[in-house]
Amino acid sequence: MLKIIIPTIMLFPVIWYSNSTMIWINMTSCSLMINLMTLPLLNQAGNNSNNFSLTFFSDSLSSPLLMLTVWLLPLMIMASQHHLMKESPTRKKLYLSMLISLQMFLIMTFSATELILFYILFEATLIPTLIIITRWGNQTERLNAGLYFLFYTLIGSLPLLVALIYVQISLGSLNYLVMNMWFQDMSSSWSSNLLWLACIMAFMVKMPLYGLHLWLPKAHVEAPIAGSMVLAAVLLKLGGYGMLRLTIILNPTTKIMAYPFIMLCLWGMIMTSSICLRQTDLKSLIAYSSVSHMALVIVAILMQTPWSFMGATALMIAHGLTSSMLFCLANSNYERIHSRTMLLARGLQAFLPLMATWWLLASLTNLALPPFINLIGELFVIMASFSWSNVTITMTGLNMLITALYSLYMLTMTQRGKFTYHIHNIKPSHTRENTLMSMHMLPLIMLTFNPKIIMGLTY
Amino acid sequence: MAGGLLGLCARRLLVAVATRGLPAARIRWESGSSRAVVAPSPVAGKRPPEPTMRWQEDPDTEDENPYEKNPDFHGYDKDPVLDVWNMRVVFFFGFSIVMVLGSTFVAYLPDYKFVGCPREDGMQEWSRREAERLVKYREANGLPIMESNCFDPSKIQLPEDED
Amino acid sequence: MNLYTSFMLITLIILSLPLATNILYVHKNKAYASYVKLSIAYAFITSIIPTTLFIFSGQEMIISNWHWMIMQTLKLTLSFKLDYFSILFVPVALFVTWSIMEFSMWYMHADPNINQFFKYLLMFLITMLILVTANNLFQLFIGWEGVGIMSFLLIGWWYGRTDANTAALQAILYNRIGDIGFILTMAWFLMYSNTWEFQQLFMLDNNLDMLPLVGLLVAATGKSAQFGLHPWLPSAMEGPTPVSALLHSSTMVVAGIFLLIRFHPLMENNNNIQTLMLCLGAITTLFTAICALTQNDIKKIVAFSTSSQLGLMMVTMGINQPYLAFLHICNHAFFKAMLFMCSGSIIHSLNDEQDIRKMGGLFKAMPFTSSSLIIGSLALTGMPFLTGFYSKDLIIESTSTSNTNAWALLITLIATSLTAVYSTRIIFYVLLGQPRFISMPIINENNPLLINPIKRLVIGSIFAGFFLSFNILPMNTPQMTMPTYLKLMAMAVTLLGFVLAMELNIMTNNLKLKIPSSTFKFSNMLGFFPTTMHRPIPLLNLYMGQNTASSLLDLTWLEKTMPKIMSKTQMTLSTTISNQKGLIKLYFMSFIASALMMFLLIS
Repeated sequence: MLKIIIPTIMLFPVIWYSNSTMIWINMTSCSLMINLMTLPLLNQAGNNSNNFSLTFFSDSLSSPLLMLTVWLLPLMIMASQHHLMKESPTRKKLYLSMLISLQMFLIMTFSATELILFYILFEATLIPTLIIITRWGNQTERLNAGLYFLFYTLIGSLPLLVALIYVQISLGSLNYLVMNMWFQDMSSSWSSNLLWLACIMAFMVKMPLYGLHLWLPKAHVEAPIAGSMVLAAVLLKLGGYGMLRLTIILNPTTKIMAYPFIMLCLWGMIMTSSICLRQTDLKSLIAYSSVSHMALVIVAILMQTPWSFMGATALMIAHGLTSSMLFCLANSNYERIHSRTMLLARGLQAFLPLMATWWLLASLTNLALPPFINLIGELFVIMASFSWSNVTITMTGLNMLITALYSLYMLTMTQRGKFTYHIHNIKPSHTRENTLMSMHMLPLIMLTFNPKIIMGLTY
Repeated sequence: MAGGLLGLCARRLLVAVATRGLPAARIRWESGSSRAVVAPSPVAGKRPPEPTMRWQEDPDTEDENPYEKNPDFHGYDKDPVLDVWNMRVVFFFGFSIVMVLGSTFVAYLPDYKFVGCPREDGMQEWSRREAERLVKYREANGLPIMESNCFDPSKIQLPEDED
Repeated sequence: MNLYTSFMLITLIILSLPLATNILYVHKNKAYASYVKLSIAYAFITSIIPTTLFIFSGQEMIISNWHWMIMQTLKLTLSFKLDYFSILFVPVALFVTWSIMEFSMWYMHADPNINQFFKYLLMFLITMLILVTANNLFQLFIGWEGVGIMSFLLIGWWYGRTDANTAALQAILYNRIGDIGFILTMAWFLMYSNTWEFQQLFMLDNNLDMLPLVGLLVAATGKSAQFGLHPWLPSAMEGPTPVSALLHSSTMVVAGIFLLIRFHPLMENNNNIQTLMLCLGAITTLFTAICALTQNDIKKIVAFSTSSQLGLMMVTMGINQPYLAFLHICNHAFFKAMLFMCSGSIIHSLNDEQDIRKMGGLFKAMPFTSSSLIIGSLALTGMPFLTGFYSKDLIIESTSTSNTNAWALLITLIATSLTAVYSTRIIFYVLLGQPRFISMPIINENNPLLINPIKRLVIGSIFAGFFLSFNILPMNTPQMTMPTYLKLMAMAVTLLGFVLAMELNIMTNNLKLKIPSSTFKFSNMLGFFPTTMHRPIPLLNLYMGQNTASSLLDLTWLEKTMPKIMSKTQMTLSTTISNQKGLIKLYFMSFIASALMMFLLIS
């Protein structure tokens, strides 16, 4: 694991000591090279996880998420190059340091063996994200968004700390690997229900669960492009990851406690999708679509079947790439139209045909066109929920319908139709942007050919 | 159904733009600096719930055409040399190295499977390949494809019955 | 044996070559369209070989090549099923598409993105072939969704037009509703049969629960535009005419019926689902035939006639005759594609005029198109010994001799009669009488790119039915004996329709205009379906999205209950317990007072 963490840390000196003209080149090349180091994580030879040390390990659940995290850093850097063009070198360096520290924390979060370490790092990721949102966001609402982001996640996760301390006392260890072998069934008392809530709430807020999702559209909309990307792609997945990890010690309480949450998610999924249909703001639409996709992941995790776990993991990775790509596309529109309102950016297909292709592909992956991995994820979740209860198919099916509608509504609004007259002097799409999009799209396509590496623990 | 839907959305948006935000919006589009001033609503008592996202516009809208200086602009940097090199670096490291090597590595990964404990159905692809090879071998040599004996009985060395 | 698989794969590879050349030659070249057309023609020729082999040897087979993944107990491989249905459908689809491609070279020649258009058409065809040849549900789903998405792109081809975009979105909406049924079926099969491979599904259990079958029926309803989910089909006429031709003949709309045909082993013993299919089909065929009666847009009439024919196919599925339904799909492809191409030719010649009231007298100006249109219409109505006859007559016969729902039967018969009525109406208004178009545009139909494909399809519309029914083995026993009046029934109702329509048309020319009757309004307003179903439901949904979901819950309740209340209580608390009130004078006073006090005390 240090093979990845130390190079990531060494990125700090790379930017701070590099010539101000060379910042971007150095950063992109180095961060891309780190990607190569994450590949061996996929080679999981034993019947156990790759235990690198007492502190770090990785298994088939965490390694795809790790790869996603590491892959996203160069993409974020490339995406924010235009955004930061006018800033001074020191500020650029500061911004990049924030991104790097975020990646560092995320890597360690995904690979920590100790729950307390996991908790600390989970909280630590808030700091760079908060700074990115509140310092580099575009509008004054960013402060409010930062406040929401910080307080929702903090309040959600404080009970987790208490719960973890309690578990440490009662079990004697907080090591996943040990707990796997050595957990006892929770007693069926009120206190264990509370313990369950305390353990899960932190991740529910992070995912976010419908009802606790208010911070997410705000944070996504106000954050600069890199912030939106990393939030949608990786930070939301922290919640799913944490839930998948923690539910092993929460048997059999999950069975009872899951009901209201599954209901809430199924309901919220449709609610957020319908909100998407009425959005005028492009970024907010994508943010709400994230909420509805993540609701599916929560449902899957709470179902606790092998199929649903596979679906949840696949959906997390697929959604990470897709939503990040959508945010990039929204940003490229924003850089040209200077507005996030969809109505002001109609008919762009006529100006930017290649960008329209990316839009099309992104929308299609978002609505889970077969055989993309998005479909594999969604399909498995739908199947798991169908076998849990046949009635859920009405909800999940309806959500599938609305997802398709708002994805294509977004596509039609931005790309089709007559262009508006205030659009003039539009820059053609740069190589940088096309590269960025293809770097999102190619992994998606390649994973479609070989989906088994993202199927998680139960594959 | 979808027609109504789209039309409705569009109409609502237009109405919203026309009725509510027109004066403010015009100001916003016209000048960059006056945007910071948002007059509080005169009707303080019956205010609609505060919109979550008030501005959707870019604060600095001044556009310069990068293609004047550098017709081959790739979107990376204003300096043409840096621009080209940045693009080359991204392509080399991103595509030539990570994508190509990475996908090759992943494609040739052995298919170990595990769920915490050893399972019977690991190495499925390997066993499939082996089985196909065996079937081909047997077909080529005219052997029966399936036999009732998994192993050749003559090769099995049973322990001698020693009484 | 080897010829069989290899030629089938060669067909698929030839088809995908034009997409691959895109990578090598990125620049636009003029010849691309004809290249695509040629590759489809070659694919047609290579696909003939396995078909011939099949006709003579009757071999069916499965190609299973690329292993995708194994999940727990589910194995997913790329496999093609080359059985009766797929092996016969592929050459038909290729033949029809070949003609349509050639036609669109003429129709779309002025379009700047003609290469892209051909690529889309080709991908549409490929996805359809994936659907047809798929051997497991997942692969079929790939084709199924692919067809849907390609139709979205093609219907919305003229993306500057709002109507086109709306129609495209509408198509997706209805298809997606059908997909819910498909997903339901997939989930059910995974749960209870633990497999998605067709042969395993069919082997396992033939007396299924209703649920997956209803799911399949919903899926087919969405894709094949059966009653309830039908409005997207006439709206899809917003696309270019070649798209409509392809969409309505051999791809997309028949996919739903094809799905049911694929799954007929599971349905043949289930009477409930058959009754459902029968009634649904009968309602569809009558309703859409009624709608077709009063339409004035030539493409809309043809579109509704497709819908009506699809209903007829569904009826055939309902009386447990999948092979007949399949035969009708194949026959229908020929003349329907040709009808669309004829109307495309007319529309193009009259400067994009689609209203049949503004046509007339084209018999003299466009003799070839007119004669093809007449042949197509006659084939559609089931004129003896034209293509349509061989399947339609059989369908009517087996419907009338089967002991099923008499109402459904009657409805189907009426719809058959109405087919003749609207066909006559097209012929009467477009071809006969005096010209009613404004000035004489330059009408020229002598372009080989237009003549040749129509000619091929005319030959197809005359002979294809004969060849197909002559060469294909009847898989189930056809109806051998029946009373003479039943045998003549189909003919009789069709002739009745012709005569009635002719009389009515002539009469309406001499009658004065009067206020439309409610029957007319019903037909012309598409049964008030769009007004009753299109408006309120989306309105309700969108209002729910805006008012309930967004304004009430998200922006008010959730905002107020959690963050706002929290900050409010904190604020009140802190202001109450804080000593700091900002009363500087008072604080200074107390300071001075205490200082004075101290001073006094000390002194």
